[in-house]
Amino acid sequence: MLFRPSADDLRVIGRYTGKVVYAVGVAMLLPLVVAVGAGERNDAYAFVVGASLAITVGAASQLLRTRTTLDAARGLAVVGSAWLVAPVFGAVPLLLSGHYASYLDAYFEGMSGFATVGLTLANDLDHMARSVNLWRHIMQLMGGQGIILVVLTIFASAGAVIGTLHTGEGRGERILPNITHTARFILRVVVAYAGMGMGLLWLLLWRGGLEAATAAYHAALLFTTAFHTAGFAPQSASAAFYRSQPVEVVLMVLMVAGAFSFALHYQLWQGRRGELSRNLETRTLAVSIIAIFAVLAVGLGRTGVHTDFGGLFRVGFFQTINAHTTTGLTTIPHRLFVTQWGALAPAMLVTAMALGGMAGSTAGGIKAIRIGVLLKGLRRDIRKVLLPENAVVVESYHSTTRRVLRDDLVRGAATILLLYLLLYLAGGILGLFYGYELTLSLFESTAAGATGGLSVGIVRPDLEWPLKLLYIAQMFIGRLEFLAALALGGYVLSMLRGRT
Amino acid sequence: MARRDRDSAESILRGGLVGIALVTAATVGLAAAAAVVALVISLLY
Repeated sequence: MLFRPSADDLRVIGRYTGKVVYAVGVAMLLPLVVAVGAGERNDAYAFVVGASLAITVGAASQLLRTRTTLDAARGLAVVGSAWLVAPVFGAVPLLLSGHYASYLDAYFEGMSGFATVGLTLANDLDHMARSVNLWRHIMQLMGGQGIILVVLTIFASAGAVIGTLHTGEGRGERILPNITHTARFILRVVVAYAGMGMGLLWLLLWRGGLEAATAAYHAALLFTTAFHTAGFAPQSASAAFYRSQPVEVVLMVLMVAGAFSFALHYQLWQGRRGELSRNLETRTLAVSIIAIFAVLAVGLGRTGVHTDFGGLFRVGFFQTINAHTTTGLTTIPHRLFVTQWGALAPAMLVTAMALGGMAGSTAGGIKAIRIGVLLKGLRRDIRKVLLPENAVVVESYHSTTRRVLRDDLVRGAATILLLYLLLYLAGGILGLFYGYELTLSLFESTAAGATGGLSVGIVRPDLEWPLKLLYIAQMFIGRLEFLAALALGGYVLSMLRGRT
Repeated sequence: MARRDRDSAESILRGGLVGIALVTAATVGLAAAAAVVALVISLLY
């Protein structure tokens, strides 16, 4: 039986969602400064409008007084509503920039940014104002590190109740006992990789011929997109624009780092290198990357596009890492996936995106830990069949410490796996309805649901609006791993049909 | 207090360098395995 949420419930959800909206407004001040500095006058006005709206609404929501505490269910609903509402305001300067055909397109872009997907509906990206392009990447940064984390560090008066917010966003694993310490550690990791990544990229781009200031701008945007496994790029040619192998190497390291869970980063920062080889999630991810790359390389070899070692390795490995970490940068034009890559190699990219990176990272998809747990569960079941009936079969795995494989863990992983497969299929079927080929339709659908961001060209400004809406829903649900989206849906349903 | 801050900054720097080095090593390890696979497949075609 459903109970209708009280007015107090809605007030607490509105108040915390409002804090996120406020943060979005404050974040717009940075591209505003850039727009003013770069003389992008019209875009500066766009950011004034966007920031004013978000800050006003965010501040007004704080007038919602409540004595209700933020429990797990309400916390999840806040996460869900925050991810839906943030792009509403994030889309305003995008729409006013003139690079988007409609508000729906701008909202799509906003959701793609906050969900770290990377699919884009921007027109004439190569002539987009720097401030607007910067804003696209800031949305990725906010989405990647979790808008909620911004809320925690900037607005929240520390408290255990906020801990519930972490669960829905996929950062459920406590790295450190205290939420403030956890947030501080995450910030340190980001700053360290930003220093290393942006420094190296700036040097490579500057030596490659870009002006120092332009190189710095591109380095900052590329770091943001690679480390947050997001996928927007400063130029429409994506990573291919730079035609630089060293740049691709740095991007790959950043993508891998972005796809690693912060729990693993914590272990590595402690110098526990054994975690790389023992951890079930790193092992699963490594085996999956190499297996997928091997089949992809066979596929590329069969098409005859890349038969030499250099081509196979450079193009194939970058795309495998790119897809598996659900980033979405590319070193070849998207249309080549359709016209030159045959069927097998793109199918491997779809598989890589569908599986995704690690839980507790910015990567999307099913997640390596769930695949690892399911395979362990399968192994346990096979052993049970083979051993005598009264034999006790215990399967264990390593994740920071040695853990016994529990039934509920396997069941949970299987449920999420099934939900993700249904999510990918939903977009695939609607694509078929609009006349797209099954393989292309599944590619684009998986790119949206797994936050992969690669495209075979279906996502474009004149895409049918029902598909735009479905992809938005897929990006939202896939990013929040169902739980927060379902909690929000449950709240809406109980408002409509619940008993008082 | 200042000494504690310096120690803390040093430990952060050390941790960061070790962490980044290990992630880089993991990426290089994956690339090396992929290179062997690519070499074998390029010989087949």
